[in-house]
Amino acid sequence: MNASQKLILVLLLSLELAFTQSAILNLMVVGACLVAMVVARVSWRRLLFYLGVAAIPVLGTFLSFWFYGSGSAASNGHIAWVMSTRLLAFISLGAWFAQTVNPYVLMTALEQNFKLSPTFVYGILGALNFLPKFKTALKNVLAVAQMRGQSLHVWSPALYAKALIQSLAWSENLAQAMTAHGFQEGAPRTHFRQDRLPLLGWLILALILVLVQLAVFRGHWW
Amino acid sequence: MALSAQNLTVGYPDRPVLEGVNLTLNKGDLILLMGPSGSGKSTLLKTLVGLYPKYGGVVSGDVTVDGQPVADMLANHRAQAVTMLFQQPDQQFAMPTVNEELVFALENIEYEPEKMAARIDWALKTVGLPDFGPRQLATLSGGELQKIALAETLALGADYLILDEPFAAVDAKSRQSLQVLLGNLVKDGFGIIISDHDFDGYQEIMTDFYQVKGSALVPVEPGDWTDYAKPSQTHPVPGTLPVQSTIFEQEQLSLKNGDQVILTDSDLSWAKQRVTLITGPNGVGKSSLLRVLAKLHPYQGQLKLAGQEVHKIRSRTYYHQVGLVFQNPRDQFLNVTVDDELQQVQRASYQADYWDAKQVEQAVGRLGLADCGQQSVYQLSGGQQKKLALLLMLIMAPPVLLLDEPFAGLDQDSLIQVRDLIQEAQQDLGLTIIMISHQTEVIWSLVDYHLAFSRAGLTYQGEVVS
Repeated sequence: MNASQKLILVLLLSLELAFTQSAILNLMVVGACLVAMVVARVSWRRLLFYLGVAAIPVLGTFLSFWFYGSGSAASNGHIAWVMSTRLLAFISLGAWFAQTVNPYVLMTALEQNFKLSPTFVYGILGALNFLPKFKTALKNVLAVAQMRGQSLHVWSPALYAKALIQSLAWSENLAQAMTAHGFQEGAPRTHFRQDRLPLLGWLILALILVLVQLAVFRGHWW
Repeated sequence: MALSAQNLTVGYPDRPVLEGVNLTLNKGDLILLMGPSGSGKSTLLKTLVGLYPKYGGVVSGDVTVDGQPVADMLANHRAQAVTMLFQQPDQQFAMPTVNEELVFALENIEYEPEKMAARIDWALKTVGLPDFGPRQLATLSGGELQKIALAETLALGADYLILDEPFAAVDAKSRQSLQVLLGNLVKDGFGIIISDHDFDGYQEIMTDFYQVKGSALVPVEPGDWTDYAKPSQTHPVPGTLPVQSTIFEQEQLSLKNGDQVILTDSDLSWAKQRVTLITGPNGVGKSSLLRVLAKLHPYQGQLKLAGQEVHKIRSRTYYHQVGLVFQNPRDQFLNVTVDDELQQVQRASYQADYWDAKQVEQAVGRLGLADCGQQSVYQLSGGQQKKLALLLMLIMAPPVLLLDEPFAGLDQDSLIQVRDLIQEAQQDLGLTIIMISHQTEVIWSLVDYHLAFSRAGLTYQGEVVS
């Protein structure tokens, strides 16, 4: 599957899970995502990090439905299981997508596959490029303020106003550089990395969806 | 066939900066442009590539490339005729790696995908960085970034290259190699306009030389070029070794920049109330070292400020002792107008008695900022921002002041004024100054100690070569 197909799969699965009340299906999705990430050599540390992040909301959801649900004890238990595993499934799908798709590949795939505007695509990529700089800039502003006898805190509006001005200057400079390097809004471009939608990708996507439908269908008898 | 400007006037809504400019750049020409900071060089150059008036500035008159008006051309066509290298090396790339950036540029001009790899290889080889394709741009030094920017313009196939102070953040060696490269490109038939504050190295490669005087662009006759060239000189430094009175002491100090080790197990004492100059090639880690001294970059080993371990001192306390003037002056600003900035530091100054209203006014005048009071600091020219950022920290006057390239991009007059201001404040207030500078010609007289930073580490030198 290419990046666009992965995105479609994640969106369709999320939509389906949102309307399906099956804890087992949710757990199957979680398991499949974990396996896929292990196969894709995502580090164990990363996986543990995701599980750690997931733990609090998943547990919170489970306990609140379990204790404070408005139905009978049995239905509360069922809903608690469904809701908490659903959350875990959403997090797993997101983690799998984030860990196996590089944002640059995704944006260029969307540009080619779905005719997303290049202005939007390179705007987003330019912004992504500035993220590490933004962190350093915030650190610098905090230090500069102290060097100048003022103390700004992470919650000071002045800090963000300053960061905003800085970002505007960056984006202005970048826009000029992109124009100088031949970027013209609306003009046709060629593509070095031909990102087509492979047939095999569609087949895999269809197969996964069919399997999920079967599971949902069977789920009525579980 | 040429890039030409006729009767061109450029400036801002309230004032023209350069008037009646007539300039022709033929293929095989290299034109050097010199002039004070804020004299409109960047504005003129951006007009020549068609970025102004689209992105600012007020322009009247004509600029044409091979007969076509540049302002009317689409960016993807224009970039194949004329393109630009910018002052801020790190703000001209949209993509994370060298390859992706070059691919982006080639895609813009609808270059055939099958031929892109060969084109990129050729461009990188031409600038002398053949293996840099997969490198992350964020990890490259200023000099390397400018070479990549040059490779990008070559890949685009433009015949006319406009370079706006491309060496402001580049060391002498990289500068030399880039100049040789430009000389070769001119021989191959490229037309180049370059603005610079330093005349060094151009005499052999340039065909024309213009100076900004007032609001006019004035050609300098070849017979007068030699007046600008100065031979290199060696100046002994007065500081005695070992350093007697110390401010910083480092033992087994090691630092990294990303994954790259830049210093290992370095022992050194830094002189108190003296001026120490750090020089070294691009990318060796000078700025990172200064950021370590400013408690903004992690380190291993020991680093003590007046006997106390730096990372154990609270930031608030530390920054009462130590101030940093950043290489990029925009990092220094907290308020919007020049007056607001000056008033803030006057109120907060550790040496408010010294920096009374009269002293501040005088310094502002000497730096040529007297008429800028109501202007936004972000609208000042690159050189004016640089001068203001330094003045703000001189007025704050913490006991230790770290300066990262305070002289980069300054014209001759400003350079002398800035040097003298630093010297006066340092001597009158007994400040410790540690600075990085590629420029050594005018400022050597400031220096008490000279540290050379190379891959082998930090070593004190007995002299400064300018």
